[in-house]
Amino acid sequence: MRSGVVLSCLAVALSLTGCGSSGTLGPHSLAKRSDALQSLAAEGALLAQDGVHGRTTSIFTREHGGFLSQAATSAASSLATARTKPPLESRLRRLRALSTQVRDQLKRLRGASQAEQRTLARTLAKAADDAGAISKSLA
Amino acid sequence: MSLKSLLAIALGIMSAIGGFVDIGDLVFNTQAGATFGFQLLWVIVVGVVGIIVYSEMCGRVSAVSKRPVFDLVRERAGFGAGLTTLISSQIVNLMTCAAEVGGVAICFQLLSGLPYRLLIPVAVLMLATAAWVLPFEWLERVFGYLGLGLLVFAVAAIKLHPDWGMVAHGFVPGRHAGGSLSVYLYFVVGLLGAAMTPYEVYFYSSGAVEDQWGIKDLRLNNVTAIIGYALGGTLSFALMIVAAVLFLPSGITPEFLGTPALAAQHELGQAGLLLALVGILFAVGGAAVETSFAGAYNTAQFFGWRWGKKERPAAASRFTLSWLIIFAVALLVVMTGYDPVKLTEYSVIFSVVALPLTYLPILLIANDRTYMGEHVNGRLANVLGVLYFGVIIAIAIAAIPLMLYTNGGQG
Repeated sequence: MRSGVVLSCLAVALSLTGCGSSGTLGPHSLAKRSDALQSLAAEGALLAQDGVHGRTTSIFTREHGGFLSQAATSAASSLATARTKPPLESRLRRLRALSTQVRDQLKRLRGASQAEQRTLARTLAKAADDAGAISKSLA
Repeated sequence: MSLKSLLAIALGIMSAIGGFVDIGDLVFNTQAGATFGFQLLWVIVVGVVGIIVYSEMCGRVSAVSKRPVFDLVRERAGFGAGLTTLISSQIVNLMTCAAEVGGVAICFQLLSGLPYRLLIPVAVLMLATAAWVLPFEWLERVFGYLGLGLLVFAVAAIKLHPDWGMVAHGFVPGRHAGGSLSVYLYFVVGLLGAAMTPYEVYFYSSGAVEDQWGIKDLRLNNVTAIIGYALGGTLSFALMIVAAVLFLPSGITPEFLGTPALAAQHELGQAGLLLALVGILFAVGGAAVETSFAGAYNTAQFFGWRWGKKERPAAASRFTLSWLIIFAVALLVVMTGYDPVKLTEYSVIFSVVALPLTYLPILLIANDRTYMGEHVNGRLANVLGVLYFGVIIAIAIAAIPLMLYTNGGQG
């Protein structure tokens, strides 16, 4: 009886924290993934922009870019296996494509020349806008 | 007042400013600013006044009784309640120390480019060496003064030209916009928890005994607690403002310790970046030393061991071993690869749960004439103390449910 109560509480807690979800994303979860991707892309764009203007150090770009790239890799792999309901399928596909694009761009940012950083600042900012638009469409 | 006393007060204030911010403040202030803009600035004011009220009480208790607060907690509350307080404060101390150690290693990585995992033991070794070698007042000064690098965020906040009308509006609690009510409340709890962490008062109280404060130092206690913490709070304002101006419009949610430094570099270039990283390094490093010492102080005072940085390590061997063990456990926790920023969020929320156990005994002892004589709490200290204790109880009850319901502020 007591273990049943404990298990029920654990199940409620896990469902509240989002742990143990089967990978089927509802509109809210999909919007949260879009927000997270937007954040990574926008932060990468800011870092690249500062690199273009000589406002940062190469070490900071490489190391902080590494944290961003790691998070983007994990976001991309989680989206690659995620599923959603049919009406949201097209937005999940778009988000998947965006996440791999952001992941690859953040990887490149770590060792990019100033000229490359200029391009990356632009494309990452565009990816951030696109991810933001997907999130808004789900609100 | 002599020039020497004024200098002592000025130095105390400077180290209090530099030592005010720790990893919890960095994480919660920037995340709150990036999520709700200026709307939560009022919570920093509430938190800063709270830590001033209770630190002043702690310093006064130590100066009058010549004994640190935890010593008196054990005596007044008895073994059972004292042990409960000790265990809860040690769990929070350990989590906080681990998060700060991880933060130091990340700063080293962002400055040097060396691998994080290699830098974790280096960070612990350097912190433990500093704690071993430096006398108590120099520990406070070195970390406090170099932590002043964080003032770069105040400069960045001004250079970002925020809408000062909106900033002023943020100091008035009101209806929120831009996120759910539960996430808003989660940040209220987190910001208060980050400002009023238990280790700060334990360290402050034991530090007063280490510095051999007496009745004559009550004014120093007032000035250090009030001006030092109030000015330190401006760093929290600055962090929230830069996040609100730079991160919120771009949709950046700060999830990394390096993210606040981006704001400094964006406005002040490489010099701003280096000042920010050095400031974060020493602020977080100082907090790591404070948490390990707070843990050792509490344990030694509870069990009646000889304690203090002024003692030779061999003379206070169990105290010395205690803070070394806290560093060692923190090292093990961080080496597991757990994200220090996530660990910070948990440590702040769990510290909120433990807050009543820290602050109730302080309030009771500060009102006890047996210990305090004529220096018991005045009316203002009691009104504020009781009011804040009510706030502490409310946030302690709400902390864990809010963390679970909002998925750690993710919504």
